[in-house]
Amino acid sequence: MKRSALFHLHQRAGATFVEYHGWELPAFFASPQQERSQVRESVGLADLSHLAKFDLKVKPEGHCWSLGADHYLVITEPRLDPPPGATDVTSVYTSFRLAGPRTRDVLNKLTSLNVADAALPNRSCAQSSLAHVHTIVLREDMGSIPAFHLLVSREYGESVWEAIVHAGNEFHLCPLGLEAVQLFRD
Amino acid sequence: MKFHFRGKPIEAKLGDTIAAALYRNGQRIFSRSFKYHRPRGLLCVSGRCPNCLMNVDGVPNVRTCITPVREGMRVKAQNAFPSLETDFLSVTQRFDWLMPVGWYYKTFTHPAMWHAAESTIRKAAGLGEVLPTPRTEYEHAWMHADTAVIGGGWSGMQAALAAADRGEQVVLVDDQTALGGETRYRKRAGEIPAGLIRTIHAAANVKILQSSYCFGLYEGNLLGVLQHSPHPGAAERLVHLRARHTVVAAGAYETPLLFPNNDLCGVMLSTGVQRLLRLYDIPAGKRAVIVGGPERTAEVCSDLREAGIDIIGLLDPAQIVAVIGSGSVRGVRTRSGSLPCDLVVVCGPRIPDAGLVAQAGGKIEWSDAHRAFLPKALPTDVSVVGDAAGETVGNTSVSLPTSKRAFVCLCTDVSSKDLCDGVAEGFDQIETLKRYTTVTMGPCQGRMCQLSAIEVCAHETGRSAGQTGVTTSRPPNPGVTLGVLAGPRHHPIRRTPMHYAHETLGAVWMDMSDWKRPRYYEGSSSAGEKECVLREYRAVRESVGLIDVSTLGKLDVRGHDSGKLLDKVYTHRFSDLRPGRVRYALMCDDGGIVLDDGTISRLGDDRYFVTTTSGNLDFVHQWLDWHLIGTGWDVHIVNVTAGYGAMNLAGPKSRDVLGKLTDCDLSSHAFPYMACREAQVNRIPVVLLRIGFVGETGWEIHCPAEAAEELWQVLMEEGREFGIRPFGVEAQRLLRLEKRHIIVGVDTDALTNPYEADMGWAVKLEKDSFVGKVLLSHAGKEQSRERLIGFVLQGPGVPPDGAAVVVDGRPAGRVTSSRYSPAKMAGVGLAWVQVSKACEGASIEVRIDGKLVQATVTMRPFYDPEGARLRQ
Amino acid sequence: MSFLIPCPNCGRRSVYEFRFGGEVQQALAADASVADWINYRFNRLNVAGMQTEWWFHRSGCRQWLKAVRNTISNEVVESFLPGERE
Repeated sequence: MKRSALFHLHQRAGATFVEYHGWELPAFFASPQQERSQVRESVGLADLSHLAKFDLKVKPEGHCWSLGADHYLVITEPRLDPPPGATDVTSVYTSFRLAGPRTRDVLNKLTSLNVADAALPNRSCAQSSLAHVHTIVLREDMGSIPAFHLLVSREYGESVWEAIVHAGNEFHLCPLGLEAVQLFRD
Repeated sequence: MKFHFRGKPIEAKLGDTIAAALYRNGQRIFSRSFKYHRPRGLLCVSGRCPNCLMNVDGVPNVRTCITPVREGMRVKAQNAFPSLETDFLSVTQRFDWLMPVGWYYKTFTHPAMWHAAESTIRKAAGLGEVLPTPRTEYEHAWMHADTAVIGGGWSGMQAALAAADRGEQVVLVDDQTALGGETRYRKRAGEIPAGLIRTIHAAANVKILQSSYCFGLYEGNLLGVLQHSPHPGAAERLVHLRARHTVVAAGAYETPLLFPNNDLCGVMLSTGVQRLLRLYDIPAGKRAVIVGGPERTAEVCSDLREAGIDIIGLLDPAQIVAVIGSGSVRGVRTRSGSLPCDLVVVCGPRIPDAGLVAQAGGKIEWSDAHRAFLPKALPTDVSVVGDAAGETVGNTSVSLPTSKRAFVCLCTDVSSKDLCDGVAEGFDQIETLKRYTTVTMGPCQGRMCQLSAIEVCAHETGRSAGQTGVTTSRPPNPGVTLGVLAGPRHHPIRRTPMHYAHETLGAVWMDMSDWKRPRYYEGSSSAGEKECVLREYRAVRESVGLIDVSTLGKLDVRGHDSGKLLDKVYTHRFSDLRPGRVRYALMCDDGGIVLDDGTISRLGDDRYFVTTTSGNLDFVHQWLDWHLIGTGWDVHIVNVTAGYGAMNLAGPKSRDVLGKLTDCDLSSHAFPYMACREAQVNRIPVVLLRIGFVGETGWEIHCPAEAAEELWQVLMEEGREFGIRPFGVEAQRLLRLEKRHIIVGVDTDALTNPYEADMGWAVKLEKDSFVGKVLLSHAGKEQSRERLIGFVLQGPGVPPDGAAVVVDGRPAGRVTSSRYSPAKMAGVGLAWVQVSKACEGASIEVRIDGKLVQATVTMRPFYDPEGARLRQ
Repeated sequence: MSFLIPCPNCGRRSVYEFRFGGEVQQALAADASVADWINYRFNRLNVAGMQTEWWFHRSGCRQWLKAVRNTISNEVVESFLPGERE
């Protein structure tokens, strides 16, 4: 079974695991409902490392994130076919979703990147240093709830997760399992 | 609310600062001065003077006059023994004649004298003590604004609202606990603009940082802002505020006047008295003498009368002979008699607070009309408004008596006499006078003393204040705690995918930059490092060992022109490498200096897998990218370092272990040394490289990171019957040293070319052109000075890294790596030596613990020189 | 030092996000003389004034760019991707 860089950290936090496309993922920590209401009221953090990621030199069909000149990133659900000419970088990143009305307050304690709505509108992306680690920041609101997808090099995953949790303490940030994340899908 | 002062509970009212609560409860002495231990009381009540510094909850030098009371906080005086009221060291002021200006320079003319006196002086002088263990939580935060406004007074609020009306994002930084500036405590300055304050709070695009001060204005309009108690979990927060435009609206502040004993408790600035009265409802005394010119005294008189304070007299400072009292004020002696009082209210000159402008590169110039220094020639994107620009500032000339008791600088007890002596001794420029006397160099950073110092200097030298000029303002001002600059203690850590497997196996960790790597495995044994490393070494040489090499840099290089690029930046040829083969790769710069090494495997016609040393990955990636610029070549480089867990299975039994888990033919016939294959191991897709850094049959196995922990555990399990052991960096370094494999950056330095490092074989000068070719071919022809050699010690011991190599009693080189080699049963190592000694069998000496030990030079590996074991 | 560099990909960012890559030099022919290569490798113009420089945006897009900086004031007046102006 595939394990993200955060597996042991989730285990220590008492997560209940579930299998999802060959990955062993935290289904929930406290309870999905509680986690969901925390996201609505304040801020929550989920591990999304299982999503498939592809690095491209030329713009593909469909939605992609532009990381620079001739550099694109495609993120899909696991087990979807890679776009032609892509390098699979699924394993290269630990990725998080930080979501909730206090998301920007947490981010402002971790990065000099301007994450205000005007500077980083929904469906846009930027890269900067976050908790002293290079991070790809994708703005992907969940309906009216501000949400950011953060990608860091895999080996920094645990360190950055802990930094985010620490910064979020004042807002009672809670970890989210897969179930809570999926509750926001619709 | 209650807090503790010197162990006793003190009652505080809502909104009280520590100093206000203490003053209300009768405390008059707040600190003892730096040098003479003179008693000092509240002076400015605005956080600008050094008089109220105390230790709060273990944090030294807290400005208690602006620090709000929190329930249960513990407050202690500092720099006073046994107490604020009776400080034995105040006796020093009787011997002040022994301590003239420049005392340190004049007394400690020999280092020995200073060493003898240092510990006594350190104890006697100085301010608070630093706790060895920080208790406080510090934070950082980043903010962005179109306009940043410094100062929450009338002008600052106006500027903020104007910017907000233009639709800009505004951050307003105010060092007080509420907006309003001087309107909060100066009745005559105008009604408190309640409507304005409400509007500003209601504006969605104005963010207000209260109890926050800006300590520096840096390039590109970066403002350093210190925010007190941003939330209950943090004591201080450093805000990196980046603005497009900065408006300095910091107002003006009052400074003391010069007369003998102007520092006694009870001598207070008029704005300090007004703050106590209006902000905390505390009358500062019962009977007051007011000192100053008519422009301020009328307003102050009216305020004091209203508060029921008797006004005993109204004096011009020149009339004062001295303030009387020991500790606290008892009266004022004038030329025409004494006035008994318990409060001396000083209406001093007002200073436009424009230090930030000077920091940002603006000019500060003297204005005769204002009798003040005003900001001129503003830097781009910085403006100054209100009293900071001198709007209502109109000072009159002041008297400058020369007295050992008329203190200019309260921070370090510098009197007007000291300054005059300093000028007389030749330090007649304000910047040198500052350095000689320490005036303006204390905690207040010149806020209280700069103008007086300039005026005294100007007077003594017969120059004008404008000619004398102003001392340089540098950030941070006001000072900030080192803790908040350091921020949260969060250093990034890089963990390999097998991190927790190592932990279970009892790894002893070492840091390699941000990476955590097992140095060796202690297991459950109580064996020491030497024994553990030897055990791991034996496993690899005799049976099989497994090491985590995930930290190796890994680049996926694809595209039709990949071979061309690699030919260009590496010294060897790679376009002719057959798919399924691996080649050693050496990289040099344009000067022919070794930059990095690794391996390059060709996984397909247009696909290479490049490894780099752990520390140089980013550099190599950037180097490849840079050399690709403008070529138009079809190459796609992706850093896949984190995507692969990598481990090296090595030892004579490695084939047996790996063979149990894969269908891939591992025989030397099908899978020879320096070959690579894509395969499945335990149904996990892997890239297998048959290479041998440690000098045994072995495979470097690269697998998707999310499967690496599982693969590691399976290999350990399947290897158990052969006595497999995990091995760490220490054993690896010993194993590679026996094979004489160099580590770039350890055995080479910024001057090493491949020929000197004995690696000329990796340079293909016959290639068309590549980075470094011209200077490498030049270096190849030149006689080099030094060579990297191997040596075997003839005596006991192992030299430390950097140990000296000695030939004929003269230094002749240095050791780069050395270990005890079980294979040679002697200390072996690599060293740079002069070229005449770089031949097989030559004799050198190596310095170990101060003794010279004989050693024999060898140019061959210490272990398996033919490489037979690698190819088995 | 806290000046801003406008990255063509990422916008204005603090200089701390970048790695300095040295002044942009005239490219040298592969078969240039030893003396020319030594000059290229070790000597710099080090102008006081406008200078075109290499910068690598390591905390951002991780791409090379060229920036024109006033070495006296640290003001970066323009920047562009290397391919754009050749």
